Amino acid sequence: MFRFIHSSDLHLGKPFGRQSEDVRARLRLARSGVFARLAQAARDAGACHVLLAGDTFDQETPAPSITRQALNSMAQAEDITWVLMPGNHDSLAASELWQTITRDKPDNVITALTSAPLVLDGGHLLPAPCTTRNPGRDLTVDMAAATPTGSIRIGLGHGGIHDFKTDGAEGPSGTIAPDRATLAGLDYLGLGDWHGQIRVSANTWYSGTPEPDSFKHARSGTALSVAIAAQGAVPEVTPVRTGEIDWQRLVLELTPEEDVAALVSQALPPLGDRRDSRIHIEAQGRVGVQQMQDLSSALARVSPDFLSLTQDTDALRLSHDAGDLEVIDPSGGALRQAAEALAQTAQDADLSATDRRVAATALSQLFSFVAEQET
Amino acid sequence: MKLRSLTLSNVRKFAGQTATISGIGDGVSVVSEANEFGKSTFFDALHALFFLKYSAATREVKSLQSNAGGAVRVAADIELPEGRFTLEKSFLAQKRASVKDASGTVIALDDEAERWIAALMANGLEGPAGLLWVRQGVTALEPAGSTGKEKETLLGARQSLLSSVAGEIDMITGGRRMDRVIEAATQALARLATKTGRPFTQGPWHAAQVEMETHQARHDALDKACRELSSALHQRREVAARLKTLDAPDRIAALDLAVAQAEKAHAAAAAHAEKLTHARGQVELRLLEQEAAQSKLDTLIGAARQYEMSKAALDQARRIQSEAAQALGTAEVAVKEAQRDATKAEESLSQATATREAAQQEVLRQSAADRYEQLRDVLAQVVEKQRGLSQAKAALATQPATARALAQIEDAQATVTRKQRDVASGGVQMALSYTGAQRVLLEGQPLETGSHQIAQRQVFDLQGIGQLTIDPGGAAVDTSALEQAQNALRTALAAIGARDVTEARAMAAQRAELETEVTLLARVIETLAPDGVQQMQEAVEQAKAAASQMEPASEAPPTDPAALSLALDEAQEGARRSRSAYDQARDTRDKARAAQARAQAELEAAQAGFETAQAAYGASDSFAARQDDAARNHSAAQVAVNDAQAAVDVLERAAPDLASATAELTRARSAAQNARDAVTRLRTEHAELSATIRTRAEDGVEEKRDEAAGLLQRATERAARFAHEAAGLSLLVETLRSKRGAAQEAYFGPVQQELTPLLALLHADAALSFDPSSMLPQGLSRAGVEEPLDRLSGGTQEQIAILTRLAFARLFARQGKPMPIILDDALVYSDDNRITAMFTALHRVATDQQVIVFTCRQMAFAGLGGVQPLVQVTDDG
Repeated sequence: MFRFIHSSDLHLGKPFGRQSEDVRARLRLARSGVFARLAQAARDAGACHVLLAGDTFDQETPAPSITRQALNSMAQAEDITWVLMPGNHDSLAASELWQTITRDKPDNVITALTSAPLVLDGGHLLPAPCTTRNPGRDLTVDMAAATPTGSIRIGLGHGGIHDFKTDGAEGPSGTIAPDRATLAGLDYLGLGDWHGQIRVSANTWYSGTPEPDSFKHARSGTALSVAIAAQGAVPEVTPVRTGEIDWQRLVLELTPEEDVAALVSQALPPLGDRRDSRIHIEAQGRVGVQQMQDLSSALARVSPDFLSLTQDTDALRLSHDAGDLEVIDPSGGALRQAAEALAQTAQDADLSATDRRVAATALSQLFSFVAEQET
Repeated sequence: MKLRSLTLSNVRKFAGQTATISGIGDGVSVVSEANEFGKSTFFDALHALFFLKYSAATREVKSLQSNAGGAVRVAADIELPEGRFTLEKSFLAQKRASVKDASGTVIALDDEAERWIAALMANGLEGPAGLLWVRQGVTALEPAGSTGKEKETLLGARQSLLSSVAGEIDMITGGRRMDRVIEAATQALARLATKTGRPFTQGPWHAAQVEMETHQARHDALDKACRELSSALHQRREVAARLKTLDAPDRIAALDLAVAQAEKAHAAAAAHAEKLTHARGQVELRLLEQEAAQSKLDTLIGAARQYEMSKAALDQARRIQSEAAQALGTAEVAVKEAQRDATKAEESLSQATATREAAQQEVLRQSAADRYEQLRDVLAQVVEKQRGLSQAKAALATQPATARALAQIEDAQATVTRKQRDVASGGVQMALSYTGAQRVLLEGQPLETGSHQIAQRQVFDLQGIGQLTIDPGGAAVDTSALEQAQNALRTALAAIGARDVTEARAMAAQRAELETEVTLLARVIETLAPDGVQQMQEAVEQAKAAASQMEPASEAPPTDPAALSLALDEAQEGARRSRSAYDQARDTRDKARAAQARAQAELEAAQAGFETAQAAYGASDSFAARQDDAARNHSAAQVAVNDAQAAVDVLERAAPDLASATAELTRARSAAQNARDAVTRLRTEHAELSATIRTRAEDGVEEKRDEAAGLLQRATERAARFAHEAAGLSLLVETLRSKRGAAQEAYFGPVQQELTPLLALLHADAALSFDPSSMLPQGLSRAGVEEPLDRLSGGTQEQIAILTRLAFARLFARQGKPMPIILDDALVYSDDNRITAMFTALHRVATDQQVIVFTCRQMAFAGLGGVQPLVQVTDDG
């Protein structure tokens, strides 16, 4: 039985520049702990190999501290053998990086810098390192290279099995044949590049990133624990959680009758999980002015619970009813008329979306100012 | 809302008392009490109940307190559609507020009671919309005071008056609520943007933009560094690949082998080239030897030829030299003869010249003597003429009868004659004849016998008789002019010393002759001595000196000048010819001398050439043997040249291409060196690129760039959010202002509609205009003429103030919100007619809501009618 952990896309050194300083620090801290968690996952699975299918580093030339600390982390897990293969972010074009790693790596780190098969305890690894950021060809073709008869053949590649770019993802041009495992006689093909975990076939998997870096692939990071009994055997693949920070994108579909505060409360994770969660609320649908205020208030109230909480209300259309406008001005005077004019503008289909948004914002602001006057 | 009763306890003058007004009706209720009763106390207490917080301790609250102090309590029963309620507030010592329903159940206390009352007043809105107040003596609608305090007081009054309608204004225009919202929105916008919509420099929007620009600049710089890093990595890969190719050991060995082979080939080619060079040197040497033999043979042959030629030339030179010497002797003789002839001719010329000069000298001397004589004669004539001239001038000086003086005399004579004729033609004739000795005397002088003309009255002395006076009467004439003319004639004659005119004329003729003589003599002198006598005397002296300096010739010179000139010309011609002949003889002699010298030189040269040729020729007996030896040597040298050239030809045919070998060697060495240089250069470049990469890598520029990109995006989004927020605020402010303006415009219509019939009660066809900003009446228009409100009489102003409120009250009532109107001695300036009209207006309004009137003018308000509420005052305790 050959057991190993399949992971990829650690993206060490990712700066998270859009985030606030404290969030950035937390995300980096979580990212730096990935090696320890992967090592622990390997131990838990009874494996002694961790295969990293590319994009271990976010940049071609990361800061020396990033490289050094990564090597140190792997050196600390001395019972684990780490296989590092270049992805598109840290391709072979990142010569300085790989020279440094080759020069400074501890003994338990193996670099897969060519397509030459590597002998592992229990099998042969057939890597397809990215030569450049956009190789423009299917590098896994070389995985058909011969290995000793009876040896378990593990392929390790990086890239899309279809053009992920159409999905907005980064990735090398030139896609990997989805049936590469069959074509090359592989017992398992471990892929990287897609940050979400995907089962392409029984023996072809994307491990996903062990520590998420965006809301695109929601939830916590995972790795794959793989066990292969023998050549030709169907691998046992088990997802294991490795992420420390939860990235959740919550879509709130709102209607004018919705109890916004209650809906928000229901959608959010339990209190105990909030500290290490990044939440992005995407509100859509139609709400009244009061609901809009309620939504803002509810989100503002719970925001400190989370590592970060952001919201996107661009898709939320402002609706109003007599009650909303009654709150603004029950007398039907000029305030009421101004509110009605803004509400009408916010819903005028003949206007641009920008103008409608400005009008909706103005109405919301009016509501806020009126509310401030009441308190 | 309707007010049914009002109760005051321990308020101002009601210290320790409770005062109650009850039985307030639906329409007009009149509380008519004398001064000092406390109507205004009721008024103020009612105001405090509705508008002052129970917990307040303001001056206004304290003003309600009685002199005894203690709690101040105010209560009112009101009637609403929901039923009757009792409102009560206790101020100062016992602070409390309460609202009770009809059953006496407390439905709100303290703050809740305040909110209940406030809601009642404003129907949920802020502001005193529930009651329309007109305080005592406050009628002005606009502050018109000039001093600060007065202005403040009037402003307060205006606000107080306005407060009674402010609720309605608020309801329509949004009022203070709208103002606060606009103010809040404006302030929020001002924190973000300027009035022109640009980010406010101290605001967060601008800060976000600055942050965005900062991140953009940082990102751009880092992106550039990243591109440089990427480029360096790319270059290093290419350099490494090229270095690997260039620095391959087999390639270096091949280059070194090529160099070694080229060096070997080049050495062989160089050695062969050296042999060939040596052989060519041998050829050159043989050729020199051949030329030397040839030269020696040619020298011998030439020496023989030169010997014969120089010998003949020597003979020829000797002959020429002899002929030249002979010609020189002949020329020397000819020169001597010509010299002698020339000397003689010169002597003849000298003699002729001297003769001519002596003749010329004599002529000059004679001329000078003649001139002296001539000048001396002329000078004598001049002296003589001068003497005559002097005499003539002296005579002329003694003769005063000038032509002018004569002309004056002639004129005087003519005048006398004319006057005489005039006298003769007038007067009377007196014929006198004597018979005795006695004579008639006139002015003492006796008159001669004869006719006497009596021109004027004359008195004659008749001696012994008396006097005879004869007066011509009308025939009398004036004789003074005649006498005057006669005097003038006498004077003129006396001036020249003439006795009469005839003598004067003779004297004038004599003077004319003298003048003619003087003129003539002066002209003669001028002709003889044009430069003056003095000058002439000097000329005479000079001529005399010149003549005396020239001595006369010792012997008489020839007197024929023509002969002298001819002899001189002949002597000159002879001398010229002699000199020419002498010159020619000398030229001939000089040429002969030169020819002789040339002949001598040529002779000497021929002699030297002969001696040289003779020396070269040598001994004539051995010359043939020497010539044969030279010919043999020349033949042998020619053979040696041919042999050496044959050897060169053989080497040249077998020679390798040294230039090609050299070029090949150069190329091979260059290729090897270039390869080494390229390797060195690439290694250097590789090292430099590695250093750059390491530096950039240590900087972590890619991570920083990505981080900056994130920060930039965040700042950009933030700036965009602020821009959106500012746009929303701008739109909000604009919309609010627009709607408020529209509401203000809409406000005047209904008010005017309600006001017009009320105003018509006082002023037919009158209309009130409103100030759009203050929302208050500003002018009254009557018969097409509008007057500012503050120029109207006090009575008219207070009437308009009340009517305006009544109009509002009717407006509210029509909108289903009736409210009491409370007047506290509001009509103090109105006359009887107007006050009656105002009562009518109050009753007209009172059909819709309560009108409560406090007044002390019991008589004047007796005609108002309405309900008389019950007023009671009881002692507490």
